[in-house]
Amino acid sequence: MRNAGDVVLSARRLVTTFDTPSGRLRAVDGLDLHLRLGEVVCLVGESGSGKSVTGLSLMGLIDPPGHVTCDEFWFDGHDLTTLPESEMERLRGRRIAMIFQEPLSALNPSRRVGDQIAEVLRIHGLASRAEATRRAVELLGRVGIDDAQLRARSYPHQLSGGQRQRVTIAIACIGSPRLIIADEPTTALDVTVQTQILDLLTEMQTSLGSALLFITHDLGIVAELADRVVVLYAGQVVEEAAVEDLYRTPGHPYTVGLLASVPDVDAPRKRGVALAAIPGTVPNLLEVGTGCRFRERCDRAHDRCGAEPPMITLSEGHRVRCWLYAGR
Amino acid sequence: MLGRPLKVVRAVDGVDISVRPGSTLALVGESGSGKSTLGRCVARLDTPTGGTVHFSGKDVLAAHGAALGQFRREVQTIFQDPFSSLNPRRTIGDAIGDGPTIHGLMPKDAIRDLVQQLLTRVGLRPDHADRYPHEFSGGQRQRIAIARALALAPKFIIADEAVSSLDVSIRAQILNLLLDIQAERGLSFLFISHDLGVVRHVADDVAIMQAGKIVERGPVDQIFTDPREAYTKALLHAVPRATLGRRHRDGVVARTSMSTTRPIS
Amino acid sequence: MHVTAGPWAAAVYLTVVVILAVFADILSPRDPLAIDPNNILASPSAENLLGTDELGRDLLARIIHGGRVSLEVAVSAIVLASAIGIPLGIGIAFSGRRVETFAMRVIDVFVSLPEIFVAIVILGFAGGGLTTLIGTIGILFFPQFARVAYGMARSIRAREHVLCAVSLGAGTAWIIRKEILPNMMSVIAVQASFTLSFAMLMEAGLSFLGLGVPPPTPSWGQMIGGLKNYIFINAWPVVVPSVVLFAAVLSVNVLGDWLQDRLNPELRR
Ligand SMILES: Nc1ncnc2c1ncn2[C@@H]1O[C@H](COP(=O)(O)OP(=O)(O)O)[C@@H](O)[C@H]1O
Ligand SMILES: Nc1ncnc2c1ncn2[C@@H]1O[C@H](COP(=O)(O)OP(=O)(O)O)[C@@H](O)[C@H]1O
Ligand SMILES: [Mg+2]
Ligand SMILES: [Mg+2]
Repeated sequence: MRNAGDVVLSARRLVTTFDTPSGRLRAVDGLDLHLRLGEVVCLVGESGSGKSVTGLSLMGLIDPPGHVTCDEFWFDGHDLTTLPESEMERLRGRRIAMIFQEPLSALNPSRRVGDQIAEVLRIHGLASRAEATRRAVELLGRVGIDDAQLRARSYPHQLSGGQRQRVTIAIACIGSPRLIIADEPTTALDVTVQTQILDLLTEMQTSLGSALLFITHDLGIVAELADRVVVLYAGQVVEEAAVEDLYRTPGHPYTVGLLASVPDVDAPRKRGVALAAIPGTVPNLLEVGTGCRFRERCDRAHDRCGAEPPMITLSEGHRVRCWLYAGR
Repeated sequence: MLGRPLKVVRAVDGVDISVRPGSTLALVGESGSGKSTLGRCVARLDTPTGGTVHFSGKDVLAAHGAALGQFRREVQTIFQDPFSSLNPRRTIGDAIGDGPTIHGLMPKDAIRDLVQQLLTRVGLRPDHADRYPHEFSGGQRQRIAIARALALAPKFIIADEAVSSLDVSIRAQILNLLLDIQAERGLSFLFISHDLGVVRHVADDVAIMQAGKIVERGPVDQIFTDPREAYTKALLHAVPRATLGRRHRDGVVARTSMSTTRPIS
Repeated sequence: MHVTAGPWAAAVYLTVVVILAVFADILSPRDPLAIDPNNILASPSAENLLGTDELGRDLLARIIHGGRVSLEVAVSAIVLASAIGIPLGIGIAFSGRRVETFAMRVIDVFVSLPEIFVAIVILGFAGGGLTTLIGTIGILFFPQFARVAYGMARSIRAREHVLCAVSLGAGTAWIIRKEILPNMMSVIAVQASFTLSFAMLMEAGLSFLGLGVPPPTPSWGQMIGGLKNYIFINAWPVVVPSVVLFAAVLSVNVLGDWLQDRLNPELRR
């Protein structure tokens, strides 16, 4: 692993529930997460697996009817389970920053982007009123926006999707965050723009020396970006590994199936051969009982899968929640 | 088979495409490049300001009355958004039976039987016919949309980003279904997609679109292994590969070398 | 579904008003037209539970019968307005671009007219009467329905399920009947409920001015109009129809709000 720095965030048994009219739903169910400075951790999973809820829970942004509990939650030396909300607000945006899929909703539509950046600079006490505007332009240039002077005077809707995402990255990085959480920041963008945004994001993260928790459903991005990968299925971590281990020796049948179902751009089409697919659909979180949540779709399911599978360590840093590896 | 190009399109900015009977032409390009517009012109859901569309040798844009009716039976469209492509107020049985009902092709009982057959064919249960769209997941809705398109036994299907909103594991199921049905019925496809990985595994021919123009076209393997145009190369290069390979290590090197850039605040 | 106290109270109140109005002949304690010169402008008593008016007629009986007239006028006017407005709006949405722009301009002009003055002018020429009143209010409100129907038809028409139907070969009639109408009904229902409260106020206002329901048939507005002249002799009689009307309008609005939240979560802000 590249510079395995200090642990900046450590959460144990994170549980986020939502009270819905049809019952209590456990969107995130007992997640353990440890993030180190300088590392990129990708959180992968299909839609509804609890990726966004995890990110929002870590940011302290879950509102009722949602409810977050955690056995242990340390961030940058603070015990967040006991921290008052006012302190949390100070950390948020400054020491932890979040970037969302849709930059348009993260920006104020009726204010010029330069002014929005300048305001954040002032809030964080990083620039005086006089200086803020100049610094905002500088920042826009820094995140690769051409003609920053002019662009600072634009409204968000006048920018392209990629430019908007550059602006939100600039805003996120203002407080020199120790942790950046990016929730599918490139899903709405075209591939060529996506590459640029990924480059910018990792460049910023490296220069700040912060940890990056990158949420995505795209296993291609994971392969390019991640140091470590956490695979979520129906609210639970089913596998966690260094990126090399995950792609070379995936352990969980779900991970195996997922990797197999990504069509390979570089392999020729095999006519008459079906694409690898995982049968069935993700379970309804309101209906999951005990036992492995993947067992209905699993080709290696067994009687014992009706009981809660244990988290098993295959090798250092490679953990799998599956009965296949029990008693080895 | 007809033995000649099934259809030729020339849109306003000089786009020319043709789909051979029983084959799949993939239309690839970034958002806003005009793929959907072209698809809608081909389906005669939009009228181009100039150009011609031929289907089975007949001029589509000039068709009216019975000829247009026949075109509507033989050409179907499947859309991207499984949530807006089904009418929330009608049962899926009604939705699937719409085609035959509109064209007055068969009595009610026959339509009901057909709906049940089609539901089974696309991997759903016959008793799903009485349910409403909101009771189904995105993947299941896309199956319903496919059943709906098949009800009129079309010859040609335009699939506009039909699997783009689906999760990987579900996407493969739906692609397999489309490919099986194509083989069974000898269908032709216009497959509109921005996902090059998917395109490589379903297409026979590929047309790359940029800003309303086709910049390159050819057989699928040639486009992917020996692209001529810079734009095609850039697109192919930008696709993130789900394998640990050269680019990953490049990335690490690139990122480490960037750590010298100064912090921004 | 969680329903808060407001909508409940509104629903109960309106249900009572509607039942009383529908079964006025059976439920009314007395004849609303029976004059008693010896007992005018009386406060509530065992004899007249809500007191009497300037001619000694029982107020409770007049409120019950008046509610029937008020509701009848408002509801008929709304039915008329939607019967004209909805087809018109959909028709405009499906007409050519030129017609569309022109027609919507005209509709906008209609919507921006000051309703009560237009009503006064029409009724001034045509004379009062139940039918004229319904017709006038209906005509005043149809442009609003046309506008809502037009907007909904345009937006639903762009949805993929409508494109699907077109590509299956569906004609305009089918599209409107199966795809557009069912999907706009919830919004129309909300619009209707809000317009209903306006129509009730409009009826009351016109009857108050003596342009509405001709005496001796009672309506709430007309009662308020008559009794206001005696406010310094006894304020009570004019308070009764005023409160009843106010509560009815408020209830319709509260229910309209509730319906809107319930049917269109996307409209909630
Ligand atoms: N505010 C909410 N209220 C109720 N359920 C929610 C809420 N937010 C998320 N959920 C549920 O939590 C689960 C996980 O959602 P999410 O984290 O958004 O998934 P994803 O992995 O696609 O980001 C889903 O089943 C979703 O329905
Ligand atoms: N209804 C419309 N009104 C105005 N412009 C449109 C409309 N539909 C498409 N366009 C424009 O046409 C171009 C092509 O759009 P589209 O065919 O949807 O592209 P794609 O499907 O490749 O993303 C875009 O630049 C878009 O802005
Ligand atoms: Mg999400
Ligand atoms: Mg499109």
